[in-house]
Amino acid sequence: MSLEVVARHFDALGSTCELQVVAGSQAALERCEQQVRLAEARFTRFVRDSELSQLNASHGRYTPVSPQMFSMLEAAVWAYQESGGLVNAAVLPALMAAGYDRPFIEGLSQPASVVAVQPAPLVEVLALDRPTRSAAVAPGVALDLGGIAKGFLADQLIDELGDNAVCNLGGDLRLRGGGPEGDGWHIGLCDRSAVALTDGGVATSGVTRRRWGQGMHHLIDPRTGLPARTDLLEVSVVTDCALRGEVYAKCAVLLGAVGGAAFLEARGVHYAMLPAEASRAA
Amino acid sequence: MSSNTALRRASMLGTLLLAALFSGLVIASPKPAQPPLHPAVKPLPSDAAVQSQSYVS
Repeated sequence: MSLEVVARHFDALGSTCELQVVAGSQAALERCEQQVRLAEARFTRFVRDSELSQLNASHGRYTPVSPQMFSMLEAAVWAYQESGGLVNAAVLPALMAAGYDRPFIEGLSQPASVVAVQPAPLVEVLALDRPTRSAAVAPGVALDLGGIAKGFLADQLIDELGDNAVCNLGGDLRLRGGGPEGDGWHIGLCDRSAVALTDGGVATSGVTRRRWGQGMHHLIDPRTGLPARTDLLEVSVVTDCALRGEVYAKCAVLLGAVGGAAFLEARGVHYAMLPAEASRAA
Repeated sequence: MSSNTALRRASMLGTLLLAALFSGLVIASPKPAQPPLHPAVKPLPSDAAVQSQSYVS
């Protein structure tokens, strides 16, 4: 017998979010949605007075930040180190140069000329001071947290939802519990396979969405400063938390089928890949 | 093979294994760089209904 699931869907973080709880209440889901919206307002680069925009405009001065922003920036540094520099929050100038200079929903255009903007190593341009909970971004550098924000938030918010829930923020999700059937939550991956798990995170990265112009897309390769050229369309990673899944999936897409598989297998995670040939064969 | 023979062989094997262990001859199996980060994943049949989907957004 299946247990009853209470669910809530809403648009935030530039995507669709889905919260599900077994034997939970809509009130808990509403509180969680509210937290997603508060975090979105804090982390967006498209609003001039958001906390991220203020940090990006601080011209190298140390700026006090909220506890959540400080944690997010620490996560960005971790992602940079864990990925060997492939996940670099300092890609905003490269994204802007590629034409991603406004919310995707408003429509993006092909830039007149595509200029490569290689980001500086994040650890050299972002300074964090824990005692004063402040951060400094080097002049000329700007951060985009879109690459890790959904996973980071899903990991934070799962606690709000209890012991048997899914927090799916735009496809990057954190879950715990046996789900409605009791054998774990059943999660679909990018290659149409599915897994059941009772505690962990799942995330998918790829180049199939947020595309514009002539081959432009949102996944910047920090090694080139341009939208990534890869033989993978999408990668899903199942691991212990959504943030790690997001980082590993992005690494795999950037490294390509051979390098990506080696990267993921060395880390012992479950994954699914959608190679570029898959779309041509379909 | 009689049960006595089988027992003798098992005993001999055990003795040899212990001797090898203490003399440092047993080579440890290679270990992954870090432990599996999510060993409790259960793959589902291809026609399984899913309750949530991971996707690119």
